[in-house]
Amino acid sequence: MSGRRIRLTAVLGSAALLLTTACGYEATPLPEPAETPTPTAASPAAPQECSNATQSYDPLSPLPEPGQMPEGSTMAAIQERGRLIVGTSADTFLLASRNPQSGEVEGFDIDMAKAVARAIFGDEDRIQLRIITAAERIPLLEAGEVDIVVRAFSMTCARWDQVAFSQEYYHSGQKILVRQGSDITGLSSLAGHKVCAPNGTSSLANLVALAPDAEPVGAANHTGCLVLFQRGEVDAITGDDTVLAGLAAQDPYAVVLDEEPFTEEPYGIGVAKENTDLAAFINGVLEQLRESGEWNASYQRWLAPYLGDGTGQPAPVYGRS
Amino acid sequence: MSSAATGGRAVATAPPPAAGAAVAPAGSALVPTTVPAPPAAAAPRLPLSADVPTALARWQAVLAIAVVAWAVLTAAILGNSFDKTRTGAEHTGQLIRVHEIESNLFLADAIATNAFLVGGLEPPEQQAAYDAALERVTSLIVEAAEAQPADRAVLEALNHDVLRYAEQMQQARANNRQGLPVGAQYLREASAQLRSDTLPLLDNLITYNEQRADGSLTGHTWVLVVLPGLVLLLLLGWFNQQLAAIFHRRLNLGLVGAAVLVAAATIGAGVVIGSLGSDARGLREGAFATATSLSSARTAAGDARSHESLRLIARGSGAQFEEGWIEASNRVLTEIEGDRDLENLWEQYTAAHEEIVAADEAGDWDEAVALATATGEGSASAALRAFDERTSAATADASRTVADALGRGSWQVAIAAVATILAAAIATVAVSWGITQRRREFS
Repeated sequence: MSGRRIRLTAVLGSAALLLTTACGYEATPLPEPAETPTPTAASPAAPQECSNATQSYDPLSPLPEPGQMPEGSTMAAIQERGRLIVGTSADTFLLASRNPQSGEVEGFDIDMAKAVARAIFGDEDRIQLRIITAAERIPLLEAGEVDIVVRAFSMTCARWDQVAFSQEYYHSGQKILVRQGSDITGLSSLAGHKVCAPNGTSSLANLVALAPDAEPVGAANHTGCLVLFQRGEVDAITGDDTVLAGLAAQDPYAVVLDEEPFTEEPYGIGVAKENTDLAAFINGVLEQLRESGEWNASYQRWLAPYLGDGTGQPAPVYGRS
Repeated sequence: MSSAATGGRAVATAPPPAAGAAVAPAGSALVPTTVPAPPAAAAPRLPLSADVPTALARWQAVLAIAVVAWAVLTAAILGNSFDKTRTGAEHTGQLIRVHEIESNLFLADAIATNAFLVGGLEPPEQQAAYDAALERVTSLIVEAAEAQPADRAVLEALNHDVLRYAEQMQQARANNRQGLPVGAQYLREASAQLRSDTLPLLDNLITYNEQRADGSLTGHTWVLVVLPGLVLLLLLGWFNQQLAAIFHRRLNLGLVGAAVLVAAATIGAGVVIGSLGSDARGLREGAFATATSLSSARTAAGDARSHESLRLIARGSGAQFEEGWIEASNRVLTEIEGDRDLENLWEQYTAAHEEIVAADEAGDWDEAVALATATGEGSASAALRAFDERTSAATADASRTVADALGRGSWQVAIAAVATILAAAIATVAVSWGITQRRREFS
């Protein structure tokens, strides 16, 4: 009897096993969450080893006529190519951003680039824009892939070791953008707040150095910071006043704190280190803009509505050799 | 009746009956007429008891149980195959559904990114196509969650991601219409999120449903269903031999009848399972593979188109996006390998894309954008639309073929299972009847 019972149990057990194995599925698992990238600040601004970061080369004077660049010069090579290759931004509202209606990149920086193209070709449209990130500015100049960089490019002693600059064409400084009604009133009140700045920039490095109790949050660029800000993922954004003005212009609930900038950011037009002739030529172009009032007209069009009248075109410092 | 099976040995010597059963019924041609008493040591015996009538009664029960057990086991194996076939249809349906979700998401992304190139005022037909693709995605997610509970956690996360994607795209479009560059950033983030967060979810859904579908389309082994039948046939044959040795009649009609039924049912079940396995292999390598490959090709085509538009949005710094385009194009070519029509369509799009790249690299961004957004004959948009329509229709055809074939297979299995149960019922009666005839010889 026990043998029969065992056999019956075995048969029924097998049948049950077959039936049950057909029914159960392992649940589809969720993927492992991606690691949250940690913000990467550029090395904190190196101590100034020079006192002439804004000093550039004497302007080329008189400027050659458009289309008649001096033989053997960098400008002649650009003229030969037929277009000026400009590294710039496409999402820095007011300085260089793409107008969705026209598709054109426009802004204060673009006006500077067009002035250079006009001086070389007599046609401001003979430029090829290359949209680059802040981190690409120096490598692309060194590689010769762009002729000039006009992209909120601060002149520093360290950068002079790698590239050359025109005279300062705009004097900016780092500030803070917050929500209307925020309790943040300046650098000293950032403790415990999430503050965004683009990865790999001196803005993030300055934030870490000057407000160590703030929680830095990195983004690909300042517009990326604005997206985080609008989503409520950060409390503030820090960057150059020009850039922050562009962000505030896109968000009616964002304001740039009315305070003295806590860094000095002299913008220059970057060229390859060996192309000092091009830097001197651009200095001549900037002098023309000063005399003709075009610099001021451009400032009034793009920046004055958000930054006020300002202090005008910076006084040039020449004499670099 | 059972004596008829004994041929010329109609009158046989019965085994020594147990004590008190020495006299066989008289006047019956079906029962022994004499009951000799050979030496006890030489008398054949049935296992389970030295007492033949008791042993016969026990064996009657054992064989009935064996037939029932065989029927249960065979029906269970067939039931398992039925279940596998049915769930195979469901899993393949789910897999194709997930592929369609992925294709439509990438199609929506391709449309949205391309629309950014024409400025804030999107063409209404592009907006409608984007909305239709996303609506299809959301309805497919609901269908998929109903179809496979094991996918629900991932589908919930997917639904969350799709909502987030749609919301970001909405903000991108709203900002773009106002001329604000933050719109392009929302677009980039939505596209990046699609690839970094949403794609792993879809990959998991595809991997696990592929495994489930694969498991359902394999394992239809005819040996498994034939083995219990063979064991039962051996048992019936052996018992018939035992009876023949005792009753000196070669065949017991009841046992023979049961054996014929078991053999027929076993062969039938084996053939059904065998053909099911063969059909499943054919589907896996045929229509099923076609459906998943074409769906993947459609997804990769949308991915390539998005990279093309992102390249132009990045204006002059599109190298990273071109790498993405090349990678997506290679995926398309792998998936459509051997389909000349589709290869020709993709070649047309590739040629149009190369013109766009050439214009962009020559510094003529406006011309590149004009080429990328043109919709006339010979344009990249037209070539891609033709490719999408062709892959979409072919995927739907292949999916229908898979569903139809699996539906037919499951009915064959169901019929075989019912036939097995009926055969077992009759075989149990036959075995019982055959042994009863022998037991009567002792009553």
